[in-house]
Amino acid sequence: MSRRGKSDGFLRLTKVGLWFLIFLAVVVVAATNTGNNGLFLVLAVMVGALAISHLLAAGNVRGLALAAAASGEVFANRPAGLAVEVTNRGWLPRWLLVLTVDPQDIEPAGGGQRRSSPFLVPYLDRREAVRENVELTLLRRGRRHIRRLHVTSLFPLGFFRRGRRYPVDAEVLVYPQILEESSDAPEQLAQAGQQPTRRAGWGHELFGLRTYRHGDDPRSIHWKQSARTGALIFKERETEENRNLLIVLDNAVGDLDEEGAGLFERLVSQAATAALDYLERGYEVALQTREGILAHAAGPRQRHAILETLALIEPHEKTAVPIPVPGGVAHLRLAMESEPALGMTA
Amino acid sequence: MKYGREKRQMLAWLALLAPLPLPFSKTLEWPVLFVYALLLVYFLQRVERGQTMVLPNWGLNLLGLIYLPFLYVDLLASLNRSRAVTALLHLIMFLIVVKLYSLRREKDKWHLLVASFFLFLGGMATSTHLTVGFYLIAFMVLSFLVLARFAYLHMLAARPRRAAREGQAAQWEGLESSRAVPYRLPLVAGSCLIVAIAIPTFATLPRLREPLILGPGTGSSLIRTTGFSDSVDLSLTTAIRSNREVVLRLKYSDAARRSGDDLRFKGATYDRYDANRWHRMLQHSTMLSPEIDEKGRVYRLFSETPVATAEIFRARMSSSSLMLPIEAVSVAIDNPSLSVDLGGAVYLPGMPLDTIRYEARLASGPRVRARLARLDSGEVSPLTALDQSGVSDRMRQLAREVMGQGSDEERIARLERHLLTEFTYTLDFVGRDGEHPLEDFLFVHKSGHCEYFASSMVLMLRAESIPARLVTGFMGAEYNPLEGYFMVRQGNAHAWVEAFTPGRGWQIYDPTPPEGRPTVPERDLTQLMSQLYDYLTFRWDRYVLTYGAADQQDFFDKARQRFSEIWQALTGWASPDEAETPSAAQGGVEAADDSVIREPELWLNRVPLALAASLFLAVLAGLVVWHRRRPFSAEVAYRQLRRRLAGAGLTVTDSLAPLQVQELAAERYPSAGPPARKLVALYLRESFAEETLDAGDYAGLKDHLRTLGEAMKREDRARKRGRRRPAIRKTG
Repeated sequence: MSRRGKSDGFLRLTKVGLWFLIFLAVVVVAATNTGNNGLFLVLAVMVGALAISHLLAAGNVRGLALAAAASGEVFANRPAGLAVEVTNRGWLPRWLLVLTVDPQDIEPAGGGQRRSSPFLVPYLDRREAVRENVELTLLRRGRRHIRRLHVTSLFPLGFFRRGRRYPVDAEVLVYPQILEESSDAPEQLAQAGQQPTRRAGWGHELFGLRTYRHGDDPRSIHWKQSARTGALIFKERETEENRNLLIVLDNAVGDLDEEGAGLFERLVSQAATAALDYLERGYEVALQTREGILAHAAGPRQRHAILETLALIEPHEKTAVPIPVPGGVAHLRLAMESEPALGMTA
Repeated sequence: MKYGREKRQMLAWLALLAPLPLPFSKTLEWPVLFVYALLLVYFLQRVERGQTMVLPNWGLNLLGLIYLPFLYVDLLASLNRSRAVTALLHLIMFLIVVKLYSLRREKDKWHLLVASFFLFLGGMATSTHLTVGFYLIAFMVLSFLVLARFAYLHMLAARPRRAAREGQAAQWEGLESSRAVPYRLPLVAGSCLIVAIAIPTFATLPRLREPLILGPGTGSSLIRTTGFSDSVDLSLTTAIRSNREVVLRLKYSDAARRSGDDLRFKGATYDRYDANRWHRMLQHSTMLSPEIDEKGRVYRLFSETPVATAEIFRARMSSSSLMLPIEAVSVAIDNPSLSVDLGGAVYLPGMPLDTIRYEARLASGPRVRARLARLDSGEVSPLTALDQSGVSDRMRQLAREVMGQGSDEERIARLERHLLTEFTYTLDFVGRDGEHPLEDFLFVHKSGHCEYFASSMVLMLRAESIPARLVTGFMGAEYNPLEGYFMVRQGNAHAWVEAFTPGRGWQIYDPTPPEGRPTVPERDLTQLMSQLYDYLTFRWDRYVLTYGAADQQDFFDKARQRFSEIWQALTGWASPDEAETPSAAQGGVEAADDSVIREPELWLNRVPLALAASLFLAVLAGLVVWHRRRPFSAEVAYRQLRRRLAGAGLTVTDSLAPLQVQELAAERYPSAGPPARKLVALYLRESFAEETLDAGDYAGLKDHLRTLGEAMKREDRARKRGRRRPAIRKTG
């Protein structure tokens, strides 16, 4: 039922189309056997309808220009938005376009991606463009390239599902999967420290006011001052001692079989979940792996840095030496051989 | 079923349209269609009101059980009438009605579509009238619309479950509530393209059998023809003179040299007049033996070489007579046998069931192939052209007085002149019911129609021992420049005389005064419309209903020839076809002198082409205008609101601000206030807040405009009624 040629177009006969063909065959037999020209007329119109349906469907998915980019953060195994802009470059409008992302068009292959939810553009006038989010679920973390987008249509009569693949080449960085289970570690850590240190950070005491910079948490905007001055004013808070956490992810796991790879992915997800959890609660979070360390920091930039590191982390050569942790630092150790352990070095 | 209301409506409309031609072709009874339509209209009304009560399963089963005995009786009755298809159609209609009232699942709608399609097939297979073409187009357009909307609704129904969570909900909801997807362009263009593809497809689809025509369609139905049966009375002309039905269409190879007024076609000859009726003596007919030439069977009436041909299309008539021009010397027809009566009129062994096509080969002048039994056998037979039945003494005496002495030719001419000059033509026979109509004609009223003139002359010639016969046929033909053929209508029926003289043989005489002979009407708009209708009917009959393998061969030959011409024009190379001469193509018949073509006809022959070109240009212009139309927007809706208020007599100046406009509307029409406010709010959002309205907003705009219009009308009506109502006076 499917035809794939050298071009990027494809054609599938729908159930309605199949039934139409069956009735066409019935009319062929009836007309030929009886010689009734009334039936020949019906037959001619049916052939015309089939041909026109085919031609209009082919023209309907041609002459489009598509662009795509990830909109917002993309986490593994969680629906995310892919902002897609469709422009009709043809001189006729387009009808009933459905945009989807096929797993085959996502590289590297084998990531176990799910087909995206369809996005319907019911009508696109000539030279018109629409921008909408296509819902997409990517199962594995890492850097993914969406090479092509599928545009399909049942237009005009629903006999054929006519489609075309358009190159978009959008890069999506997929962060590790965020686990649902909650952590009680913050409560344990809360018993320690929390003294103001006269450094800007994520404590409770006010450190000072400054103009808002891109990347700052909008929740800390001082609205009254902003209204007075006419510019966005940001409330900086003092950082507090011990309100920080080092996540130690030991990625020296060597070559892994399928089960081991699954466990490693879970380990990375735990690290990402913990990092987000603590960052949300105002902690400064650091991340140490075999490749290096991301120093303690809070805020969206740190969140992005940690998630990017975790998204791209690969298994390291196996070694018996554990990752050393500096003294007096609250840390969460994550390793394959052991359960996650929260502790404080001397 | 999702989006049920719209689907129900579309299916019901399609089902309503599907059986429309069936009663016209007598395949379905009118009362059945009436009941069916009534049930469907009621269903549509319920859907319109939003009543979606569905027939339960037990109800369906019960109805099925109740219908079973009806089906059995219906089948028996239909089989008795050899129309089993009628019972089948009843069953399909029953299924459609029941299914419509019990629409529940998605696939039910496809069942309904299939059932409607079979009704449509039945209608197409059994209808022959030209208008069935319009029915086909209407059904095609409606089906296009239904399938397109189903495809759209199918895509909407496939909305992702997570859409609501991920913020696509608004988009999908907007699509559901809106009917704003503009489908007019694909509908119109798609339908036109389907027709454009269907025409050559129809022409080239291989035909393995002869064309079959089922059912009596009104257009090509049997034409009740009087005047050519075994016996005729004298009332034929009165009955048919005003009949405009076309019975013959003729394409002469030398049409340019012929005048429609002079054409005469022989249908039947009558020898015996008895009890005021003419009788045909078919038992003395001769069966003709065919010769085979390149055109098939050819029946030769005379051994003379023809100089022209006439391609004749004879409509279905209640007669077996083969109408031939009086110049015919042979006839080429695909029929196994032909007979010729004593007077030389040719007839078929049976009454043809549809339009027949044959070719008459013509001499330069009239030829009468008639036999005279007296001359062959040496004795006067009462069955021959000297039969004295019906000849009274008074007639004999009048004939003697009028014809006088001299040669037979002179005496016949005197009698003909006498009738032409001393008698008048009339179709008014009120109060004439005498036992001897011909005597009354000759001695009392001295007026009558062609049959009276011809019959009187025949009897008076016989009284003077001159063999004569009554001949019936057609005289005069109307030239149809749209197709380039002559049309003979029922009203062209005529009667004349053939008389024998030893010197000149059988000759034609026509004693009817010129004012009483069938004439060709002057060209006017009515005639042009009539010719256009006939042209379309002829084309429909010729190129649709009776289109067969031979026509296909002809079509391909013409296409090949046209291609050769184009090729030759482009390259300058002559194709082998060029060597073929026209005379060779016409099978030995002399080529017509096509150089003598009347100028207006040349122009009129281009009329179909000009019409097609104009239509094409009009469609093209329409498409351009449609494309360049102003897109519907809140601004357009706001301008419509202003126009409506101005049209209602309110002063809407250019300086009136939008909010003032809405207040003006609300003040004059309180119930129109809310939609006016909503419409103006959308206009302000679009024009001043520079917001982009979504599909739901556009649908809302149309709704507001409609509600506003209805409210204005309602209040205007109420105001008028209030004015008419008399004031109630308080007393006491």
